[in-house]
Amino acid sequence: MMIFSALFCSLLLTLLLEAAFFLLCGKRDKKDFLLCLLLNLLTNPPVVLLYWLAALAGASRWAAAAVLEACAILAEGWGYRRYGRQFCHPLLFSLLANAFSYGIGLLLPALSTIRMP
Amino acid sequence: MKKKLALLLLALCLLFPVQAAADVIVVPEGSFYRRHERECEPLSRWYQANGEPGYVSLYDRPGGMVLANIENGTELYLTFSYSGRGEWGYTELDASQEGVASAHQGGVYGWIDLATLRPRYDSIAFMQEHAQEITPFSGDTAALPATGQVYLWKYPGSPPMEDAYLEEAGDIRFEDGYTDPDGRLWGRVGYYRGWRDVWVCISDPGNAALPVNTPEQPPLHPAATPPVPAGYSPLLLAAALVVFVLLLTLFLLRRFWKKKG
Repeated sequence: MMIFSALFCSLLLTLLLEAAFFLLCGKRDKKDFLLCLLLNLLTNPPVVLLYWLAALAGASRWAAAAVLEACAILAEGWGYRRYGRQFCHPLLFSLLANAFSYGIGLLLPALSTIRMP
Repeated sequence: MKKKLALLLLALCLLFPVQAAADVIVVPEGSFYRRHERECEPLSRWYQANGEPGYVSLYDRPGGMVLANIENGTELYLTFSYSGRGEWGYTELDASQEGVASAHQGGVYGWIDLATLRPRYDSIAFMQEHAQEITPFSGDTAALPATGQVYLWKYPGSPPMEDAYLEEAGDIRFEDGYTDPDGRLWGRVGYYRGWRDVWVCISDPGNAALPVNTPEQPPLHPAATPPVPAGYSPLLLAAALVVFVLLLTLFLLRRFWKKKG
């Protein structure tokens, strides 16, 4: 059942961090805020699941994380560009938001309790 | 103040020396153990799979979902036991090892019904069999050499263990004593320098070639190729959940957000 706790904890943490990043950037548009949450709901669970599958298959974890994070950045950037109202640089916002949440996630010792396969 | 307290503690330690015996105990994985920790006890014992259908099942919790089936004869090391809903033992194994059938990959851990296992004949089995003849140790340890090899045995009459000897055994303490049919006195050591539950032949401690007397074990049930458990794979369920969330999110995006331009 570790996969479920990993999915849940990762999603919760990502939503919190990316919402915080959205607000820290000075953005206040409610619909854009919901879009930010929704796009993370769209990308985070598949990224975590595919990371697990890659780890189980014996792939390099760093390589898997790099490829999957890149896909998530592109997908979210596409979402902000297509549906966002006040995103001047949607891809850059997506890149920075993901870097922020991934970086903080790496630093959080709580993450070490989520044991990977 | 702290320095004084530390000195006081040090003085107390020097005044009352006690022997420390410690092992690293790796507790079972999973939520079942966390919920039933009080009903679980360390076991540290080898068993062989011995189920009536030719294999035994590993469950995620006692009586829960089958994670793997294990062919009879497979050796299993059980680290903890649980009493409740029968007697169960906890083990960890590699799902890809020979004789194991599982939908999981890599390490898999869980609980096995002890009634479906045959314990390896060891010190515990010996003590159960000879309970009437084993007494708290009160013998003479004068025969033990101050230096020189003292051989260790799993139980009196066991086959020799590789590299199981002590170079010095001056401060060894025996908990139980047993005199074998040939009149040799044996002492059981609960714990000594990393060795747990081993025996020393006090009458002939330096003899590495004592007669072997291994009792016959009841035969195992014939082995059968174990089937892969029909239980769901957590990964498949997780994948289904992820796809559902993905589709729901896409639907919400299309429904409530207008495409720009």
